[in-house]
Amino acid sequence: MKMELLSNVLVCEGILDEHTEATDVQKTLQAIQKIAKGAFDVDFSKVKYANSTGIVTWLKTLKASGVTIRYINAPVWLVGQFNMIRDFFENGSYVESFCAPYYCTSTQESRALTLRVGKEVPVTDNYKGIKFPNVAVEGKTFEIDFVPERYFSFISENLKIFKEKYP
Amino acid sequence: MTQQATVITHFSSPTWPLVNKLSAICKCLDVKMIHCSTTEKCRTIIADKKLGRVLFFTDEGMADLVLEMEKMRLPQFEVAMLVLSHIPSLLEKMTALKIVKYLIGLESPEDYGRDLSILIKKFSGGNILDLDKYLAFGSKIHSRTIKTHQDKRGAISAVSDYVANLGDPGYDHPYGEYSTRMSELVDELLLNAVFDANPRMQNVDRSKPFKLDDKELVHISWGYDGEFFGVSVRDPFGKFQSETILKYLGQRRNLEDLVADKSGGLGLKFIFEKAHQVIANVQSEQVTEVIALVKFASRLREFEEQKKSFYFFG
Repeated sequence: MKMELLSNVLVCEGILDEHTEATDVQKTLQAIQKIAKGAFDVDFSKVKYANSTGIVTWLKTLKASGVTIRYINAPVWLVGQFNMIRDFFENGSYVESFCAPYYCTSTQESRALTLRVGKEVPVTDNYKGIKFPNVAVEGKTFEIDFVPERYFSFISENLKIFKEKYP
Repeated sequence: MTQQATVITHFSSPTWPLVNKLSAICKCLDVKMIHCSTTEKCRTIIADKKLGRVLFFTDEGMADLVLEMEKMRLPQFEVAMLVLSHIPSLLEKMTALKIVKYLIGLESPEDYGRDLSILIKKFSGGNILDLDKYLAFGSKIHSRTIKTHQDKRGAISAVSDYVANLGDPGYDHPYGEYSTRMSELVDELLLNAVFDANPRMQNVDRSKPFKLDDKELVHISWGYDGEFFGVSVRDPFGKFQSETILKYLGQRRNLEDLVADKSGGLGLKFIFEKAHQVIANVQSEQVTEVIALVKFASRLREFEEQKKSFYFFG
């Protein structure tokens, strides 16, 4: 996985797997530590996917660095990881925006649309029964294509962190 | 076919459509089946030393009886449990992990045919190694051999492209998302076969290029039958154990727990998260074949809501 450190965001690209070396991640996080004032934005939208070795490298190095991350534009695969492993929210790290699957019933098209925590997605401990509005894209109506209480469980299970960031 | 294989059934509540279905499949496969209507009758039958190999069909409501059986140490018994709960949540509570070899997500009896006939056929002695036995007749199977890290990357790309190309190129279909998920699944299966299963590779630095010896080669095959996508990864080590797998499929979600030892716990969890059915065929110290089957639904929500099953043949 390639990591490009811009002035206020770390842009990652490629595949987060066994070829992502811990020393490279460590150097990047150390560089972030020098410039970050609070949580630093990390964008994984150009990372195709991750395997378990890559995830372990990322999380262990992140934990050791003490850096606080704000995940922006998190792709669907990363949301799956947020919901599976608690350690993504170490050091007070949290999510600002992420993609979610949507479906248009009239054309049977699938799209991943971006949602923002605290805006389109409220911060709550229970998403059951909450209605999420349909979204119009290029004249077509898309509805959510996921189970909110499952897809947003990374928020409901880390409520304290998210409530603090999005009061 | 092994004549001594017997199927015994006992459920926590009356499920005649399921019992009838099992009875029909057993008759087709020439396997003896005994249905126990009471737990008392069940205990009497279990105590019969002349039974030979037994596949005991039950549900999670009978978990205490299964625990009792595990304590009795019945090496000829294997338990197939029908599961209503989320499987990782159930595994969190379940302690009888040695005797339980099959976990089958609960659905209507009409939909069970495929799962149950594979299970009973295999248990009664039929050889069902190889992916083509699990996909509909005539499905084209693609395969590759993995010797180096480039082969691994190449195989993942080939599967990813194969799945992405199942949909119409000018259309926003869910195969793009399925392609990502299958890349993750295949990567985990290969990591497991190349590194975790191979004693020589367990402690190597995974970030460095690898080259397997001829006797360590890993084989992957994949195909789609219009309903199920299947991928099989085979290694020549035969090290997989059902209790190791079940232990890690539980709901533990702290990295420290998942990577505490070298058994690829997190990878196993990823495999089970991405697949709807996971079948492990193990010939001890000779071969492990892990087959993952995934049902491609037209909507991702349906995909997420598919029932999950796990089978261990070893």
